[in-house]
Amino acid sequence: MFKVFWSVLHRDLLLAMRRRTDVLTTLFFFLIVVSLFPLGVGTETAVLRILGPGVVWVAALLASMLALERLFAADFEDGTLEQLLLTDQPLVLLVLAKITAHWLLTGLPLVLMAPLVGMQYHLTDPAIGIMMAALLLGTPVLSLIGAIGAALTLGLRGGGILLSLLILPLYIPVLVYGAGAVELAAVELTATRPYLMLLAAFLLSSLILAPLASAAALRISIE
Amino acid sequence: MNEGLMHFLSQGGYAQFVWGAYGMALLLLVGEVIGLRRRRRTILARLSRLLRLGTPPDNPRDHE
Amino acid sequence: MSSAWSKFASPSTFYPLAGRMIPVFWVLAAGSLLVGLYWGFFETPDQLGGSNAQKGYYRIIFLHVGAAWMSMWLYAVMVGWAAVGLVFNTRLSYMMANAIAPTGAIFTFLALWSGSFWGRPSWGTYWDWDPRLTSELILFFLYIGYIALHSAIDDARRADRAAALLAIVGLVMVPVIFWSINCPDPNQCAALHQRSGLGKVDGNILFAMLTTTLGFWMYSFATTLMRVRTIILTREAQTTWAAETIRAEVRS
Repeated sequence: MFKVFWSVLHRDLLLAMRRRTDVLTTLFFFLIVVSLFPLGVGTETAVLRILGPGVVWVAALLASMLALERLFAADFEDGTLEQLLLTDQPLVLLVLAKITAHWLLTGLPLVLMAPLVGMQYHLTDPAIGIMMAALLLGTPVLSLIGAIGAALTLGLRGGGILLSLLILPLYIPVLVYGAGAVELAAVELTATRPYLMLLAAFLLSSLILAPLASAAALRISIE
Repeated sequence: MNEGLMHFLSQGGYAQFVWGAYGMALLLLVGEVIGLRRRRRTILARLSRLLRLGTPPDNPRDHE
Repeated sequence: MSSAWSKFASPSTFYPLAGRMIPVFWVLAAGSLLVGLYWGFFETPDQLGGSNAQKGYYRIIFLHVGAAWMSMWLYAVMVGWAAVGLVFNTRLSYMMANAIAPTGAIFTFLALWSGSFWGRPSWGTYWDWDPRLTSELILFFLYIGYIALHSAIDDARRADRAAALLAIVGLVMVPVIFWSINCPDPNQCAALHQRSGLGKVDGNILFAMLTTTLGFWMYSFATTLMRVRTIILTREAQTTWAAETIRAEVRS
């Protein structure tokens, strides 16, 4: 069973490495959105410190969502996805492997880029640490929930815009607690624990439920 | 116009809020019903035309 | 499923039945709305409360509360039909879910609109990021997402099932979303409380409020049945019973 997971994961990563620009586009999108805000709202340190957590999280939401469109699309177009559905391997596992690959390519780089962005917004060192932890827990949830939307809108005209309409409202809990944790880290570091616990709870429950829903959605979209 | 009606319409000086809220409700609810009736008529007309021509309506989703 | 239920689950039986039920619901809706609004405007005090009184604008409550309740209730009913459709694979259930969504979206919008018209005189602002307002806004987005997904898919069967799955995912997420909006700081969650209870409301106001809500409910039945009838006709147009029905309806 794990062999299936690994082989799909390995294949997706390999394919992505062959088309590196796709991955880099998402990251630079994140970087550009985050860098544009100070130009729009002014560059005062106090203002940036207040806005920083929210801006970083909204940008992460958008970046993760933009990349979602490609989660199943390429495999759908060349027929691979249909073949995957026909195999007697559990579809949930295949979906989970694809989501993991997606997160490794779009979510994890955001976590690693967080210190850079934190410095742009003059966040304190502890706040940057909390931001990285929150992103590490939160971005997989984004990929997991987003996969349901990606599976539902598979192969539709204007699927990208539609996807954002379906998925962004569902991202709200992650946004609220993710940004909340970073905001609070500047004031009282120990108080951020419940936030991270909640994010971890979201991660665990979406890890169980979201692949099931995505697999069901894929079956609906493809049959 | 009599006193009582004026009193009712002014709603204690908050007419624009009260009637703004109720007006939008009236607009939307009546509009929904009119839209539904109109849609029913156009669909009936189109389907009966197709039936007369003897062609089975191909993809019903196109007309929804 | 028992045979009686599966009989009504067939669009050809349901279509005429719905046609007979629609006028009944219109009468009930018009009746309760008239009584409720009359009671609300003429049998209630012009002013509420003591020091920080709610003046005439509080009468928006008869619209606002009913619309807000209906918006939430209709979402639950919509998800219920969608789930029935996914489990028993009955076409009519999906059609009911689709027919409910626009009416639900309209009531959600009305709740937001009347809320902001009430908020302006009583709080001094049209919009505030109050938990209830924000939750209602998110509910509106969920309705729009359902309608958008359904209308974006050309294949009726896929559209039904995809939108149904989305509605169920939405319902699972709704408590989490509302909780996160209600309680953005988990350190102070204990402070969360209900700000109003029905028990404190004056009897006349409560009666008017409940009656208009009933009216909205009956209105939702009527519009949903009207909409489901047009959906049935378009979907079933190639069958003989639908062809006969169409001929009969056009003649009359």
